[in-house]
Amino acid sequence: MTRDIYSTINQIVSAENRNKVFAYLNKKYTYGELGIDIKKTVNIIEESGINHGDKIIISSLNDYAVSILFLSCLRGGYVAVPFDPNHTFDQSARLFDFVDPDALFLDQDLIEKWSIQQIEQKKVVIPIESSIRRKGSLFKKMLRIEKPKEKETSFFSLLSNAEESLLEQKVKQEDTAYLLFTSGSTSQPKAVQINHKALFANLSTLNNVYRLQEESNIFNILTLYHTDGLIQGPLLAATNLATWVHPFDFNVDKIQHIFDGIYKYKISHFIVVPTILKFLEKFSEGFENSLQTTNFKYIISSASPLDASFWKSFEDKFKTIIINNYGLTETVVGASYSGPDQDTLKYGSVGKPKDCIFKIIDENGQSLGPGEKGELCIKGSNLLTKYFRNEKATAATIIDGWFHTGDIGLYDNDGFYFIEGRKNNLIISGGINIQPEEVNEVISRHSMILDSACFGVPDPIFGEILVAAVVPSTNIEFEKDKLIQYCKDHLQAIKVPSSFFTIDEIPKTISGKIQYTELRNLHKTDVVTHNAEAHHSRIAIIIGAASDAFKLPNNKINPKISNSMNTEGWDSLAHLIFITNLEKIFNIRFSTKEIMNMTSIEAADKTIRNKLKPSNV
Amino acid sequence: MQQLNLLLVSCALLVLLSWLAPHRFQIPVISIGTAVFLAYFAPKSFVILSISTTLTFGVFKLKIKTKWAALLAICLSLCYLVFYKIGMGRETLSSLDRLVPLGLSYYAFRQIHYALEMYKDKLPQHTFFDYINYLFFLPTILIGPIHRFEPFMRNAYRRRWDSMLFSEGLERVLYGYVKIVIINNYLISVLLFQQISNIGSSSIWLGTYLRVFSYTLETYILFSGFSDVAVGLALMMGFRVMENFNYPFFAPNINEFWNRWHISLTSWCKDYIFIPISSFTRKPILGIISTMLVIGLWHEISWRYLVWGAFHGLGIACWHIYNRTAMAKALTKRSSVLRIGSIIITFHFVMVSFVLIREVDMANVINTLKILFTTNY
Repeated sequence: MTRDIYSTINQIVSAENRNKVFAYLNKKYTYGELGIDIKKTVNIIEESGINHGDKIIISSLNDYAVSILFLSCLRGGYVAVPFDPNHTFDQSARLFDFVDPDALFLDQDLIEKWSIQQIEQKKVVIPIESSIRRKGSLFKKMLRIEKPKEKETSFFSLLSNAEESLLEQKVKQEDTAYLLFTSGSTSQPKAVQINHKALFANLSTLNNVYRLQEESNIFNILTLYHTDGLIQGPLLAATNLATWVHPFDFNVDKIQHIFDGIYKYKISHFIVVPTILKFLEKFSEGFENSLQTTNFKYIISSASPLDASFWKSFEDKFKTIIINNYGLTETVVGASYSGPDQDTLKYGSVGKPKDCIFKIIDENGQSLGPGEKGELCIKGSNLLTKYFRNEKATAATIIDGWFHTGDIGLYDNDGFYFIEGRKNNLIISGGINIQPEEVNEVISRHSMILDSACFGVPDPIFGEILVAAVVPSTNIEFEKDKLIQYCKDHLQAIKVPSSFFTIDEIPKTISGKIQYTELRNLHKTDVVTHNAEAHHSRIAIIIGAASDAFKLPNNKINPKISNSMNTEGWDSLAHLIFITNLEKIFNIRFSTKEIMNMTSIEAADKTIRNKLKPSNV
Repeated sequence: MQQLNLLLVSCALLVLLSWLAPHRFQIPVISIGTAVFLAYFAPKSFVILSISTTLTFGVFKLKIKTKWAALLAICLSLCYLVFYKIGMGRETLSSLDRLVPLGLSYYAFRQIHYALEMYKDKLPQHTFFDYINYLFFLPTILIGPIHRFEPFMRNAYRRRWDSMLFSEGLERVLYGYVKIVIINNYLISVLLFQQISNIGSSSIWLGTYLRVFSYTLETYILFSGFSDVAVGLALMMGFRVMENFNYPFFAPNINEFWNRWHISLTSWCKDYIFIPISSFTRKPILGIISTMLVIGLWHEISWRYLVWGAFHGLGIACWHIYNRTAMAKALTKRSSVLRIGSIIITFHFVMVSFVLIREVDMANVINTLKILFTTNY
């Protein structure tokens, strides 16, 4: 493990490491290729007139390009600003104004989408072209067909012609390494400013907790515009000469490839958010042994709470170890860790702080004892320098060197910390922080809306989802579809509320504060309650029918079992008895195709649900 | 042996080429190698497999309902299977093909499996080349197993060099070879045969019993040996295909025997014959009998295999009826002596059924059974 960016880059460019694999992305990249590309990129940046400490926006869907640029910025002493390509035109314009970058490296199509040429005329703008080679180039080469010359100003063509720069030492530990946007409002964006010292301090901690080695292969398919994707992906791999594996982005369709990828890429560490774990568990039929490889060591869960019962059941099912990492963008990545050893593990907790200290304080700032609930504060070398150009937020959260997280927690007599809630309205959906006020600002600007309020509600998969309560304007007809489209046009996809519901008035206190508890109660409509009840009673009936057919007690049958899991008693004849039992109970008749597909309790439930739909009755 | 040696040499070459080729060409190398092998040694089979592969994939691209496309694909596979199984077109076959085109029974069932899974909408997204790779897979061409498409796709994605897997494969090939060459070709076919011949007319019953016993053993050793070679060669290429045998002669009842014998065929028949028929008719016994008849006819379309299938079908049906009685429940907690007894009974049930396929005609079958079941000999 290297301690700073110099030793990291020296290690990368070292001749003895040139054949080691840096990453499996759309293709394999070696440290030899990465080293050369970093040297060239530093040279390109220098020749563009960018100076030490200047801010460079990096926005691309090309993971390799982002990795080269980020590492080059660190090495050259420039401030990297990873910028999500999914930002809308409005957001990008506003955030560009806020950051005031000196250079932009971004995908060709983003230049058009964000009208960069008009906005940033005086800046250095370097487009990143798609590096995918067009099909048919072999025959073109054979037939000597002249291919159209690529623009020489684009990143990869500049890279192919650039000289390798001499790597002179320029960077100090206190220099800013990067700015990363976190949840903020439209009027007051929050960009976390992290220096080199904090970055490498936390990378060192991660390395020790995860026990990384050169042979480690880190599977991290999180977005590079989130600290867990960026720092625990290419950077964590590069500082250890390990391999970063990100052959595709997370998608439900890719779950099978995730399981199979563990074996294929000899994965040792798998970085996830709890939402990914929930999906893996949900679609795990036939893949239960996927983590039982000689190379696999740990799953590392980050970014949002991991509930104790799910954590334990996942470990039992897949016979693996999950390390629960608690941290924020403001702590680089991690601050406390539960696991991997028995003395550092407590299910449901965020573990113990590592290389930093925690305290719990009351509303008056006084430290609290074990079991007492209060705000969690962190002090250590892994903290942010400040919020970029947001003195108000900095002053409110960094007091006497303690970072006030806004999380409500407590610790027990063994020194394990637990997170119990939050001081503010911030919600974490699928590992992504969303400030409901930011979304609310956008919704309330629409002419159809008189008043609105956004808030989080618990969700079994995403942890929380964003819900919008809206009061329609009386003089314009309210159309939900139009509002959704409007949100899509003005917000990142993840920030578009999962559901909208209309009410006559937003419940508020006399002083005008929104009463979120009452709003949440209003959202729990009768329909939702009925659906949940119906689901649970139907599953119970199906389990009863399975119990009769397979001659097993009810408690031995759970909704996850299937006949491919060699379930005791579920042979082909018992399957038919199970089916006929269900037909009698629900007074329906299954088709042959349906019977052939009902290979699990969940599949049976799905089939019955479809058959009982009013349109099918 | 000629087929085995040809397969081993060809696969050894393919194993080498498939690992030496650039990563994205490794699986196509296996398919191309298989095509070359078939085209050279069994051209008829190569033509049938190529055409049927194209057609069974192509029908699902037509603008017709999936169920009609599946029906067309199944009919096509059944047509050429039955055409050769009833002996038509036999004269056009090469020496290696013998009675039916090489591997036809296996790839016909793989294509039917593909068609039915397409109908059920259970297959992941795939291309024509994935389908070609699945069907043109040399280790399983000759003698199965009838491996499934989805696990094959998974294997193709997961595949990487794994020395443990390779060594496991090598070990399996060796086991298979020992089973075929030493146990079958020497211990059973030479030594045991000599012992049986020595008995001569001194005890007709013992001689006949041992002849049927050795035939049963020989069938298992030979078939499981070939399966070991196929599974081993697939492992050496980085693919784990399904197992075909799981100690069938240790089965305590005939139902269990069929869960352990030629597993890829029985699970195929369970999924595509038993469940559809019993689901449609709601008569599981009919499903069992039909399944066993198909298993019989899959081996050979003849009266003796029809009787053989019916015999096993009735056996399984009787066992299911018995298994739901109070007596079966009372004997569930049986002692190890009872278990050994049931294993011996099951083995002899299978042995008796092998008389049906060992003898050349029904008169010989009756004669052998008469010797075995009467005390006059």
